[in-house]
Amino acid sequence: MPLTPTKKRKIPAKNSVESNLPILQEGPNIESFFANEIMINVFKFLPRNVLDKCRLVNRRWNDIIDIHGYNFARRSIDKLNIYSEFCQNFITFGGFSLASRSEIQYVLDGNDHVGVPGIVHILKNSNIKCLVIGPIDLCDSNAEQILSVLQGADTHIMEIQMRRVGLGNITVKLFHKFCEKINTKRYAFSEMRQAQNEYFGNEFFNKMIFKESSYIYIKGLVANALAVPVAVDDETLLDFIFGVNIKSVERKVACLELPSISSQFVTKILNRFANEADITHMVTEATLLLCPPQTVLRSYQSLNIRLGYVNYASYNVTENKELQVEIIKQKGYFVNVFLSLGEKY
Amino acid sequence: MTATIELESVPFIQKFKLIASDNKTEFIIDEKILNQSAVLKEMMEIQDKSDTEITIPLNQISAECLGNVIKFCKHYEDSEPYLPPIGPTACLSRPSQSHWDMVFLKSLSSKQLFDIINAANFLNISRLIDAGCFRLGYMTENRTVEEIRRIFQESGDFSAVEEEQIRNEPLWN
Repeated sequence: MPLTPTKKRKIPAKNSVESNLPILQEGPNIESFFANEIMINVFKFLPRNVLDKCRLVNRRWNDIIDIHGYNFARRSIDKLNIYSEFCQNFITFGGFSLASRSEIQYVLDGNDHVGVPGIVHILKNSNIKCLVIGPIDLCDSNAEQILSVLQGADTHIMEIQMRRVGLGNITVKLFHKFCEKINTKRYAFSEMRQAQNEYFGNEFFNKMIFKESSYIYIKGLVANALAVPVAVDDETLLDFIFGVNIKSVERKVACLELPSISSQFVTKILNRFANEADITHMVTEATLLLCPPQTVLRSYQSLNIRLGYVNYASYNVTENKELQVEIIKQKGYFVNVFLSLGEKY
Repeated sequence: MTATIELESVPFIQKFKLIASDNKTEFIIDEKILNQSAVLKEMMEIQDKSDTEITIPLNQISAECLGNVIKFCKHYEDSEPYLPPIGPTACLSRPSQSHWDMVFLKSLSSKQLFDIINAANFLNISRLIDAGCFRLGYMTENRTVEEIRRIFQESGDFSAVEEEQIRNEPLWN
């Protein structure tokens, strides 16, 4: 049912200042309070779900949002899953948005780029809270295709989780480049298949993109049905934890399973912490899961671990901060090491 | 001797007199406040310096509103020039509800808020325009379409069919 007889309003030409000069009106019966120019500025700061409501207000608002849409907010997608279940050539983009309770699925034929504009249109300017990649076997062509979609759509990704991703068909260099181009601050890798040492080795921890992320989680690396350690040497991991050569970023959590650290690691980190001049970029919580006990304990203390718990601390005078190292015995053979940075207690 | 140095070290501060729409209320301001308005700044650049105040009549802005505008600009008189956020991520940079700007604008009635935004637009004070727009953004939070219409005093002109069509259009929202 039509609400009121519609009155066509003229939309002033874009970017013309004269036509947009505000007319300040008085009194209660004001038809439209704000000039288009101001409305554009209001819309610029609104999240997408509110913008979609604003489009329903009236023709004028709908037209403004349509014309200037490219300037406005991204759509919010809570989770986007990119996977390829049966055939490497078909990539499925599945996702949902809680705000609108909407769900979507889109299958891309990896052999050609015909479908790319479609998915780019759907994802255009979205803000993706969590991008889940996997299960998929990454190779040059599908990695490139995923990137072309995400970059073409100019998405903003807050977190990426890779789960059950096969790395057998992609080189180390391309895999790192792939992660780098997705560009987020939070990375989680779990159950990665064919993840040989080099994929999560020294080179990984020297990459700026991982160094500057606020959250790194690596767990469950597998190759040929065997668990693969996170093959990083002490010095590289220490530089990573202390945040050497990086600037003004918030680094919070790093969690690595099966790190290949030496028996000197805990001693080294405690000594270095006490003498380090700049700890402003240090990871505040680092967790090393499943370390072989002899690698982190001094021999005379390995007796204590039978009780299940050993605790060390180191104090940095310049910053008045304390580093706590807790070693907790896991079921069976392994120990977990927790490093936490805090105020001097 | 000391007196001379003092005289030299004090820079000349040009004063301006703004007159509100009632032709009575006057506000005396200096360059730091005036320069926040791109329009007035441009106007005054071609003006010669004068020992007395330069008078600028602002027939379009009420005394109450002009007072609010000046109050806002006074708060930022010693701040760095404002760089407005741009691009599709602009919505991520909105200030918190407890930010001075938001608290200040929240203390105004909606009539006063609408007036101050229109005045800021007229004078082109980009910091105040953006702050006002952020405040309007907060006012739309968790509102229905009908409520948004009421807040902005906009009248709807879509038929139910058209409305349904637009509602179904976006794939993600």
